[in-house]
Amino acid sequence: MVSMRAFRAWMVGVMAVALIATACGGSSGSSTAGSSCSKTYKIGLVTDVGKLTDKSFNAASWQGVQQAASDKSLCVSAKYIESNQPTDYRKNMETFVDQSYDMIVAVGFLMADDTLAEAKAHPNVKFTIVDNAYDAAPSNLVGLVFKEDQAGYLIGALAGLLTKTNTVGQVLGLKIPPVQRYADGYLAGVKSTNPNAKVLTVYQGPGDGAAFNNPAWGQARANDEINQGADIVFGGGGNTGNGALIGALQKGKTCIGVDVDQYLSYPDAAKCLVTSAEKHLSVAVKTIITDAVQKKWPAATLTFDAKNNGVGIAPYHDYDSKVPADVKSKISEIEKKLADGSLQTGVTI
Amino acid sequence: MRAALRIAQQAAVPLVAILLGFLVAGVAVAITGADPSQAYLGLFQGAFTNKHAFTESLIASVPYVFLGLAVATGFRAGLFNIGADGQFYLGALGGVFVGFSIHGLPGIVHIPLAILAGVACGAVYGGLPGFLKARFGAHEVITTIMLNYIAYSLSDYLINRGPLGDPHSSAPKTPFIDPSAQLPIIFADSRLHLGLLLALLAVPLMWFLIERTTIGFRIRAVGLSPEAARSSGISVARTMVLVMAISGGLAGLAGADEVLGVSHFMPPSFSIGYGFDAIAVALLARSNPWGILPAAFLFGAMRNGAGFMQLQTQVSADMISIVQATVIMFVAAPVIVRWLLRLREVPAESLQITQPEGVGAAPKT
Repeated sequence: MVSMRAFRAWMVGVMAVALIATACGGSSGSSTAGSSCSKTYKIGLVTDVGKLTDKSFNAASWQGVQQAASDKSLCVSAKYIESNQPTDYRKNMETFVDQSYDMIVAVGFLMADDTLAEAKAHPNVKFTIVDNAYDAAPSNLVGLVFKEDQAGYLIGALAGLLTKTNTVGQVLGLKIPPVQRYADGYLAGVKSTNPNAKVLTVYQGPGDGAAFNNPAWGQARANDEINQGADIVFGGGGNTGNGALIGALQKGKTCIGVDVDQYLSYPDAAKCLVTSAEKHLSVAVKTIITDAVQKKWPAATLTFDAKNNGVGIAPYHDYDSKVPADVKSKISEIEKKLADGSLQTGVTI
Repeated sequence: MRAALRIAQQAAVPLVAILLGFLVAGVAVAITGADPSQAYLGLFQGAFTNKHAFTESLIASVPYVFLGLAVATGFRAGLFNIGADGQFYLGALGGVFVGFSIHGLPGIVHIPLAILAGVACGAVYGGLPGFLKARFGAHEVITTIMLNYIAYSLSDYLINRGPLGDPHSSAPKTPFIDPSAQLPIIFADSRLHLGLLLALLAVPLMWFLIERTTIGFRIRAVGLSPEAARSSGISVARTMVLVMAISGGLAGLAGADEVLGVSHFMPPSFSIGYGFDAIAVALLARSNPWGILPAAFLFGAMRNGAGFMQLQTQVSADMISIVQATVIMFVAAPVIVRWLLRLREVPAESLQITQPEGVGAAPKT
């Protein structure tokens, strides 16, 4: 009896502590503009269902927003809402609109239709969407797209220089334009530095239920390509590509990541990653925010390429000592030529 | 007077469970360094007082009403339908297919047809584990869980460039449904659709079905004691299949309703665990159809308010899941709550989840 009463008292105590903790919690950590600003430009970011912890598109886009917010001269304040399900996209954008936000950043082509509808419904609010272009969009909506073929060209050139078997592979997601640009750029890059090299290419078929999300398939295809002699495998297709990286890792081969520096975002494959083909989503997002604040809102889709640091190649990390100096200098030379426009990838998709 | 007292007593445990849920989640929020009172203020504003907030909370509650009824109906027959999420997907697939593939029908024909397709798909998909249980004794918990995965993969296949995929979009999604299949908006300048009225209608209908009809009597009899039901001449097998079909049909209705009323198309990952939240809704409501209404509204309002809470305080919407999980824990273990409250005399009825003899009486202290 006594112990029961003691326990009950203890439980009540726990609840009291909880109440106090509830009442005295810390403050929230959001990005706000400096006090010297006469007017703050309010930016709301809505993630797709991948949420901010995806270490990829959503994370990088929010990083771009934060970079803009920390630039005191822009006078930007920013908040985000993570979407739990696709039916939340419009609602979450609407929440920002209702709070009189000036600009809304939508992440990913999955939000394309909803963003277009919201932009049409609210012509006085600026909208931007990462990784999507529209055939016809209202003037307050700008898509941000990337020249993936240039990033693909860079890693292809590297693979062509590094291969010892004269065979390299790539395992890709669905054959949609951004993936195809990576793949064709990779092919062109390999051929530019090693015309005799064989490039093995495989796309996920349209019938695969787990588009961009079938690591087992990706790993099996990487194994196929390695069995056919490939010693470097490029995994370009979300989780499917991640499977290919793991396949290369387990066979002791070299792998190349995609979209972001996967050495950091996907440590499971860090040991085989020589580099990653990067889209600089944060650069793109910061650029469009700067344009909006400085009243230089673009008239059409913004394209990001090597010239405006929109695409690139990630650091070599652990491979730094294994990549010969002359290869490194060749790659940075190609990067410069792509940036100044003197070199074209030849990819026109 | 006595009735009011009984309702108050029945509601005591769920209410305290909800309070404890918010308390526990508040601690979690405080640990992450945010201010729980600000978070809850944001949650409240986002759920009720902001522009569009209340109607959006109602919209978010609609699927919980159907799905809560679905799970609760299973409970009444002693069946644990964990497959509501999968049945929701099947219902959405049926609804969206009829919605986009048929053209030229007037809304008054197209909408009921699409809804019926959703209900039928859900009913078949729910009836299947009922049949497996009745015929082979396969436990419905196992089969419904497994059928969820099949439903996810099936929708993934059908929508990701499969036969239901939109050939004109690079995004994995179905085409938009015909405007004639869209549920009409019932409140100007909002997304609030006819589904709310359907949900409000479904509650008394299910109450009537379960409490006032022969079918309902059989369902309850099987839930109380299959042996007794069998000896008194009720076909337990048929009742099980029927209950699971009704349960699946309601879950399918939720899926079709979301497609026809809210999204107007279907992406492959359409529900993030609606069917599992529904188990909590049904538990909170003690499987009483009327109780489903406030429980569903609580869950809908929380889910809706979470967006604004995150905007205001940047506290993750996942905080809601902590509230939900804690609520389930305390509802499933009402003995703890009653003991904390020193409630002793509680009618045995109010302890039920599935069977009245199940949980036992209050411990004597």
